[in-house]
Amino acid sequence: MQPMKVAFAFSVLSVGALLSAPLSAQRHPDVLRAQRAYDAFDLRQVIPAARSALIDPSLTMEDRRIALELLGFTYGALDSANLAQDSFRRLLIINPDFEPDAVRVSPRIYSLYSAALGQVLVVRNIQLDTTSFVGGEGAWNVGFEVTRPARVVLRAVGGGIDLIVDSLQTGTGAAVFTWDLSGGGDSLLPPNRYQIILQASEGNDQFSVSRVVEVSHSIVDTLLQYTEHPARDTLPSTDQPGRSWKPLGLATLYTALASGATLALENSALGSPARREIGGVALVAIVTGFVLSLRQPDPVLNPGNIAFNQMLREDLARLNADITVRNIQIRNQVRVTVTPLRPGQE
Amino acid sequence: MTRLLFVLGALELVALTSVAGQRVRLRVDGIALTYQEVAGGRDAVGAGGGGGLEISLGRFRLDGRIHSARVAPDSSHLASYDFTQVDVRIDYLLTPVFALEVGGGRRYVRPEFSAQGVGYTRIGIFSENRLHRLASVWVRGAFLPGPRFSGGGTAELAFEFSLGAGVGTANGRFRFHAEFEFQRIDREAGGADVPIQQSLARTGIAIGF
Repeated sequence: MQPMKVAFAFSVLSVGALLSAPLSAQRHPDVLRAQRAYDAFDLRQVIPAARSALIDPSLTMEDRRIALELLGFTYGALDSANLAQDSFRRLLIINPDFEPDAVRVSPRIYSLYSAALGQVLVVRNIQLDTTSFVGGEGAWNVGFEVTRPARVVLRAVGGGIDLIVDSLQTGTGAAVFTWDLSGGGDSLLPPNRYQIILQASEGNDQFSVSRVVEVSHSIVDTLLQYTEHPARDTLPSTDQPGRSWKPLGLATLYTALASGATLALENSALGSPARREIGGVALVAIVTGFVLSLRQPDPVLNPGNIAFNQMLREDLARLNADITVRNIQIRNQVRVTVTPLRPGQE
Repeated sequence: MTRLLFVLGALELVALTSVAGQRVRLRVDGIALTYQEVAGGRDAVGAGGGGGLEISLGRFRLDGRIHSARVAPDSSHLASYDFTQVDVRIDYLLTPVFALEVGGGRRYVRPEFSAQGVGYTRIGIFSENRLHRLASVWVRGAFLPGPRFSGGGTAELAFEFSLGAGVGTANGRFRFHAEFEFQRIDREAGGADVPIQQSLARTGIAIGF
């Protein structure tokens, strides 16, 4: 009997923790009585009180859940395996997501719960995420678990629509529906509140569970045009050469050409020629060349960089043309958002 | 009539400046020259002013100039006289720095026969090289075939050279320039050699549009 007491003590602690919150609410008297007896380790009083509550047709779903949970744990502690499993089965039908804490509950009771779980067909641990995507370019996942192999159907009901979205044959465990939120044909599901129903069936056993989600539509943001290439920077189109004496050289060369030709081809019959004109202009040319040789030379065009920059400009224009086409498509698109509602929001 | 021509000229200038890839440049010059004729010792020097219009369009460039100068012979017993010279040149760029040049010119003298009035055509070459974005130097040389003279005669040999340098703003709006022109014409008249030679220095400012 010693192990049994230890298991029970664990179970009491666990159930007490699980049920502490509901006790503060308005409870059915028999449920309260059963709970107090359970807390006082008076297991023999728990069973009649809980069973009395369960035959009351006015019992709320929450009180029914607590009563069945107390019965399951109590029968488990009293070694009534069949009755404990029956209580857990009934509990799972009304509360498929129920799962005792495997760490705090005694292994024997947990195994009774696991055996009961394999005997019922329920859909549990439904995973509905808030999702937003451009219509036609994304999907919404509906994750769930089934306790036995079954055929599961996903339905959406609301706003005058009753749509069978998808169905699949799944084994025990997790599965997922992926839905692009099309409302039949090519159109998207219109904005509204919808009941998402998961129906599982296997032979004569059937189970269904539902959640409410809100579907809304919004415009899709257009893409900004690039003002500069997103991947590469332009290169300088000119190089700055070092200082050189080229200007002086050129000026001297030109001056020598013109002066030499003039002096060589003067008409000697006209006596000594006047050279003040050529002297003055030659001086101006050479001084100009000398001064400019001392200055920073002109930047020199870099053909390779210019060709590269031209290629970048053409690529940028191509990218922006693609964005323009994409924006035209975007203006005809809709962003669809799915938001699961909590029970209080429904 | 003069006003009408002026207005038409101004409108033409505005129209030209609106053509892509072209440039118009107006220039104002001061000149100094030495003129030699017939034989040694008959030099004349003078100074004056002038102007010009330069239009670049693609590979072509039209250069028109006029100047006038008062020339005083060395000889005290000869009276001063006036030169007016008009030159037109059309360049065709073969490379960025080298061009073929054709054109013509005429030199008027007043009073008539104080010196030889000359009309000539020219065929030559022109080369301009940029020293920097602010400056360039240029040379030109031309043969002057079959010149005509107010006093008659012929010339089997006639040619001209010039050297110039210009410094201005990077956008080409303003440019100061200095240019030297040398012209030799070996005139013969009545079986005698009566050569003509002129050295001219020109300096001024050009405004580009």
